[in-house]
Amino acid sequence: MSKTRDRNYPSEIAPAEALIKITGLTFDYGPQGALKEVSHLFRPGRLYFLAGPNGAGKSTLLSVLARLNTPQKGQILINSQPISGLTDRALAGLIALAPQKFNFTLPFTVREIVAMGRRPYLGRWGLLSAKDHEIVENSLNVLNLDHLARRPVTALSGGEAQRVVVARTLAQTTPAVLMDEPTANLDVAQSLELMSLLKTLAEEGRTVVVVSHDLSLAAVYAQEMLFLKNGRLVAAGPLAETMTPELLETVFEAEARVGNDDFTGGLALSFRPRPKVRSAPVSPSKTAESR
Amino acid sequence: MTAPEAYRSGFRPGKLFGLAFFLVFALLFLSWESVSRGYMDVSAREIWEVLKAVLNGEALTSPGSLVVWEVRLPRLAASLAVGAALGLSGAIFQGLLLNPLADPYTLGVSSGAALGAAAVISVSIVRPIELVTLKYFGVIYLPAPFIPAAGAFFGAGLSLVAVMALAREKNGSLPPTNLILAGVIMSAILSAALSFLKYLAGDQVSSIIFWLLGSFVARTWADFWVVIIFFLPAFFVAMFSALDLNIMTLGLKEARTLGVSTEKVRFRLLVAASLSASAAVAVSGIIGFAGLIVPHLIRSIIGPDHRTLLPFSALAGAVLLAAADWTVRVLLPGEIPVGVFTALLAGPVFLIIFRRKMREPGRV
Repeated sequence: MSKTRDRNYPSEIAPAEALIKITGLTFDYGPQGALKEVSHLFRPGRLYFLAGPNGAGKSTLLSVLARLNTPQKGQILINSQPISGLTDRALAGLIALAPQKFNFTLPFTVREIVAMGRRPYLGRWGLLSAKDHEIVENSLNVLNLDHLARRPVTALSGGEAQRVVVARTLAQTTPAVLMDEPTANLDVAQSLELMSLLKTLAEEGRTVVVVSHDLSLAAVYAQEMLFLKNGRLVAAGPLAETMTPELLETVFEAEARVGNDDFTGGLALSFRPRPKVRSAPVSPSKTAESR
Repeated sequence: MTAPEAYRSGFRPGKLFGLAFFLVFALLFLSWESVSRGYMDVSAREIWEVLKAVLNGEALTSPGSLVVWEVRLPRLAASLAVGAALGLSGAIFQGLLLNPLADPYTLGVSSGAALGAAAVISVSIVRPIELVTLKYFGVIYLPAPFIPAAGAFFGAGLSLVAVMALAREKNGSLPPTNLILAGVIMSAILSAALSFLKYLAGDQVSSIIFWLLGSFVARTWADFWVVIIFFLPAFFVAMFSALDLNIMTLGLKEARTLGVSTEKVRFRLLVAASLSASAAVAVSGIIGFAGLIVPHLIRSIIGPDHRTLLPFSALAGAVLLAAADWTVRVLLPGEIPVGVFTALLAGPVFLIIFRRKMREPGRV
């Protein structure tokens, strides 16, 4: 992967912004959700939510953006440069991904794990500069992990481990941040705190893309929505334009109601099951007769 | 989960220093004991004279000096080098495969090495002439121990490639459990092949069997150099990748998003660990469990950071094998092969680790 010798790639070289343009992405392989002809432009300073039913290809899209999977067709450009031409290190200085599944097997401390986020900027031995230390401590602080910093990650609860992963992603100080279900293990207060953090990141000029099942969070915090279904991008655009009852119904196959919510300042969503189309029920007695 | 041991990881210079002090002290003590004691005791003054004579290029004449320079020192050096190679190899395999039971033996690498070396040895039994010409082939003088070492590395490499091919999933991933299972299958096949070789060797079978038992008897300086020449490059490659190995324990995908070129690093590390293990097997036969136990012990003391774990595992492996060899040669009456001794001693430790792993899933 290394096109140039980039051992001392300093964080200063990394551009402050990431404009990500994807065109015609098609990916269909293995058990993951597929992608079909997905095109979109992710702008700096915006908070994007990716939503859709299970298996719609949300996580696949994130993994393709982070070059963990190579699409069969289509192109990904960051600041009009194809990501296929970047070194692993250079890419890690541009895009950070907080995965949905993580598995800590060795008892590294929380601080050590967060410091691994600095890998794109470190030399062979991984010695941290004063600035690196500052970034690591800052990331720990932002996610309320200070008191756990010396704790081994193998001894953490699910929510704590999730916050460690987010802190490591922050420590990577990339212009683009991708998060796959970051609130899956968090309680209400922690989820809200994380959402305002993501909002801040977007306000700082980063490109933030979040995959979430929690539509009520999206309805309050998202600036842009992307709806995926069966690998296709069904709709994309600003929250108010895309979060409509009709669209929600086609995407999630449930009846939806959308209203303005003074309490949160965002939208309020409510769902109920779609009435079932009546089909002739097969009664047990009948099947018994037919035998 | 919140037991005191849960707080033991993290960089702590005090522990590192203490362990380094202990290991270096043990190393010096064992070196002195191994060189001075045995069938005939040699005084410190005599050892000093021998070293001075060797440095000045003088010929050694007294029986004592020959025992020190031609017998005991090379044997000590070989045991240290083999121990370091096994410790390093075990630490790399465990970190890479995230499995506490991974070591050159469970992965079939050592069995491959043993078969390769045994094949070369049996060829030399059947046709000694060919091997001698091979020894002086070209301008490079190839000391005898390099030939089984080449066979061992060839065997180890083939077996590692086979194990990885067997373990590989459709999407190209290499789950650790698959690797261990494939390693066990491979080891079984290779031991059958080894038995066949023993059968073919006929009356000469004892030379293969004694070598396989694992021993440092009659090792020469050439044996030491064989291991060192394989071990040193492996050690430096591993140290250069130690930070990436730390990050790869998070999972290969996560490591890639953090900027690690995982395929390259993994290949490099697998080659380094195999080189190291096969050189050890070629020189000393099969000395089981050293590569398994040592990284475990060291990790439980200084934590999982490979930047310190790798060098300390190598050092501790060296000390462990020197201690084992010293025990069988000096302390125990009638010399038993050191491989037999370590297996008898380390087997129960292996069982304890296995039990603990069963009770605490997810912990290495």
